[in-house]
Amino acid sequence: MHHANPRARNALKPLAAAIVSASLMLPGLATAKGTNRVFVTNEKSNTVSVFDANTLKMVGTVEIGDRPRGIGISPDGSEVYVAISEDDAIAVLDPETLEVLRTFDGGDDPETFDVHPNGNIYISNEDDAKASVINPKSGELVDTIKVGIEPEGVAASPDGKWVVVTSESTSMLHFIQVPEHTIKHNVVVGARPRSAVFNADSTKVYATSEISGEVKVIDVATGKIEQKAYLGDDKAKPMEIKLSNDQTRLFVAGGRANKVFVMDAGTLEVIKAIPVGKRVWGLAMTADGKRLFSTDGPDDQVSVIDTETLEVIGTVKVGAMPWGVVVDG
Amino acid sequence: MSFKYQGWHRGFLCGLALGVLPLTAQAADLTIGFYGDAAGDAWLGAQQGIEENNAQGEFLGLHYTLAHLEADELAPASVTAIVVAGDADTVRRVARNHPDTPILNVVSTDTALRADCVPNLFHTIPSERMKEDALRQWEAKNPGTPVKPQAWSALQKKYAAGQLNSRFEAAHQRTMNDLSWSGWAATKLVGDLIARHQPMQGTELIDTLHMDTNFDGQHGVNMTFRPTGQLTQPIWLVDASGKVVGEAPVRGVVDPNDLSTLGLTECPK
Repeated sequence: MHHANPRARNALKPLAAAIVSASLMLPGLATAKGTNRVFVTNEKSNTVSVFDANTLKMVGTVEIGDRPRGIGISPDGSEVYVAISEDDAIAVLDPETLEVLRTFDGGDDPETFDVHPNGNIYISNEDDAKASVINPKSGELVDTIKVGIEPEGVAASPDGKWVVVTSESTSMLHFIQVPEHTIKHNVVVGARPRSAVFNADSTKVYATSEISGEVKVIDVATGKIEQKAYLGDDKAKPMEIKLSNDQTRLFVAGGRANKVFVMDAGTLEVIKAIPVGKRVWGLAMTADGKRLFSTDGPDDQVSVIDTETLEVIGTVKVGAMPWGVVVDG
Repeated sequence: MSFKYQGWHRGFLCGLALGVLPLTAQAADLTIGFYGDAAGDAWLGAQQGIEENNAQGEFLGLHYTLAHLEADELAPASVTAIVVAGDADTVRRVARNHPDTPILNVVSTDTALRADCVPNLFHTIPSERMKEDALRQWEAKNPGTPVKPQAWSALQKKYAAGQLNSRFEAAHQRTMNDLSWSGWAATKLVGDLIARHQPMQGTELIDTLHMDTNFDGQHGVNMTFRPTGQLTQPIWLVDASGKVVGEAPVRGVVDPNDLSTLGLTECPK
């Protein structure tokens, strides 16, 4: 078994001080309540890279297990969850000490998940056409929900009433009611739906389809597609999608277009295509919404985007083939 | 013989109008006919597509059956589409016998059959010309490195091909090849289109196949039908061990996104 890398723990002692000084130096970004660290899964090097969201200085690298992909954080910020695909497990990482606290069964080939406001993990089980609900405190499997073929993206609504699962090979978004775990809407969308995100008041879902190249808006109450737009770049395979804190802009990882697309959330017009590294998949934003991080797989890097100026303000070298990213703070 | 395609303006508008219909869970039973060897790879692939349509249909109130046709003229008028696993002349005959039904050719690679441009005829299997073009591109970049151009490979893992290979092997205890892939694609893409635009069949379905197919054939690209009825797709270049060593359009020789570098793109004037 791969567990906590002792070097990571040792590396931590000087860190608390480093973080304090970082916050002092950059008071504008010091509003986050967590460690303000960025956690990145490296699919090919079997590690999680950890760096500071302000200073972009590397904090540590944790050996986590075979093929880490999806990553998320508990609502209280006390635990980081990492799906270890080849080990069929989810590892729990302490964001402060970077210790692997425990692992539990993640089902077959766990990949993408979201953490519900109630603390449960909703995860897509790609090979079994189902979504599983796991209590990460106990590791207990709470429920399973039958969905379409090759389920991928998972998004929990901020109000906790909904979880959306995208079924890639069934071209469908399933709107699952919580806590009943019944499916209220099955929305047929463009080929290979990948990722979804709710708006702050849980009334709309924005979602990407990788193969059809579209981004659409779905009304949560009715399950109707309200709007649809294409990224207008033949190479673009829209992957992860995020909504700005003020709800006005969408950020879409453009896959092989090697760009992050910025769209007006109201009109779905592309405002800007920001060049980043190769095959960009994962996105995460700081709690204050000022910085966006993208995983640029084959470049082994994370790009850092200023969400005001829409410019890349830095890149951080991480492990091999970065996949998922999350910010604690 | 002239079957120039006429109806796409009407079909496009129709498709748009249908696209906004609510997807209510109205139970509907749909039958896709299959004419050809009921023990062959194409049949198993078509079965796989039907199973996947039913996994989707469960959420939409749609249920599909694959009906083996002993003779193509026995196809009931209510059949949604007919998959044909046969030679070019067989495909031509079935298409002629059922002019208002979508006919899906999943076996014949005959280039001349594409050049016929029969409006109700669609080809999911790549043509000889597409494979020749793929090979030519490969040889321009890798002279003296023999490969075979294929629609599919059981060893391909990229683009979620690995998932489809696993599903097929688990269900049928054999590996997916070109014919099982094209059989799968035929039934699956019809199911996908109907899920988006239900209810739909006959000439309306033919028009929509021409205008609105955006199919994920698990090759990493959006597949559509050309005016010739050919499904656009990359070609995989496979070495003697069966491993995918390249794909066409070949980067460095042509634009790797330009699928029009493979095969006949337009109907001959």
